[in-house]
Amino acid sequence: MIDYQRALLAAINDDGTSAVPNVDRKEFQRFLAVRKRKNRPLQTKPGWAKIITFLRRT
Amino acid sequence: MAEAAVGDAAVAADVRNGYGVLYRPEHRAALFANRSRIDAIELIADHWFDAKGRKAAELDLLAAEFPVTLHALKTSVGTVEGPDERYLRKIAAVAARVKPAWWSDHLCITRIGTTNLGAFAPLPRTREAVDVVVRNIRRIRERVPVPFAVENPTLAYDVGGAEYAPAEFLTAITEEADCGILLDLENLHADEENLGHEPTTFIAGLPLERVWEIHLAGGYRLGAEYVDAHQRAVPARTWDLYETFVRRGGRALTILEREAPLPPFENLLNELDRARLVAA
Repeated sequence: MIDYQRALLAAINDDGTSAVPNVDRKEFQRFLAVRKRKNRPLQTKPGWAKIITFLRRT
Repeated sequence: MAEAAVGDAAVAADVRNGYGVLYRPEHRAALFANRSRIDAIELIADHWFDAKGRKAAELDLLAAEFPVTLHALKTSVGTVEGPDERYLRKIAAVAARVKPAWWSDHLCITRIGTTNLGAFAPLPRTREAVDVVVRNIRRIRERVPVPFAVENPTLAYDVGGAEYAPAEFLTAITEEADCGILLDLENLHADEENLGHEPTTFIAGLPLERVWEIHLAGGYRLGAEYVDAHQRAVPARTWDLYETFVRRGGRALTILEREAPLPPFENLLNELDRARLVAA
């Protein structure tokens, strides 16, 4: 279990570059996708995003 | 309040026979307006940590009006180093306030050391993992003096080298830890879609007297993946699994889990009526 946890943490930290023993790489990508979806930052309102982009350009 | 003789937990039999919803503040008014059609509610414990002022008053009102179960997200029952003591203290504080029939969390890892994984990592189905989880649940029950149930989470992947079939794994843990099961039928449906796990075999392999609660929800397909999103009506396959559970003699508090975007509350009431019909 310790080895599994260590491998899991390493794979999360390097976005799936490391392998988790006994875990299919493609299936592990699904886990990373779930993680990203669940921890997606709150979206800025589109209006504000345009204003910020405009201000940065100017 | 009548009690069921399951494990060492005095689990309220009248709550186990009920139908309810996962509480969402957006549905607050509709929930109270339809009080007679809701037997119990489930509260996400994490949402009420350190509640003060109006939020604390809301929590007290809900607990006074409805039988309550608590559902948590970050206990991490599979972590080798054990659950976070501060987290358990917060759960215990909410539990002391609302006096739930039981509380639950997922059979997975959500934390390693001080790192919050931000998702439910599956456990290897091994004897070693059973020992870790059983030890953790014993500690959980010492710290939070309320019956505890574990939920089958959606599995993003299978860990090879399994020593147990999925239902055997959950059964071994709940028998040895003497706790309950929160059976999420939509998660079984998702595991069938994503990993080819056979859900009816899973249900048949469980000690149904330990299943205190059922979760019903609806997800959607996103490319090759079936997403356990709680954003759709309960799909036909999940209703089939509910019928399978009931036909095998299962009786459990049935909770509809629905997240934003929320439909009109009437839709949820109709789904609860359907569940009542299936179980009649």
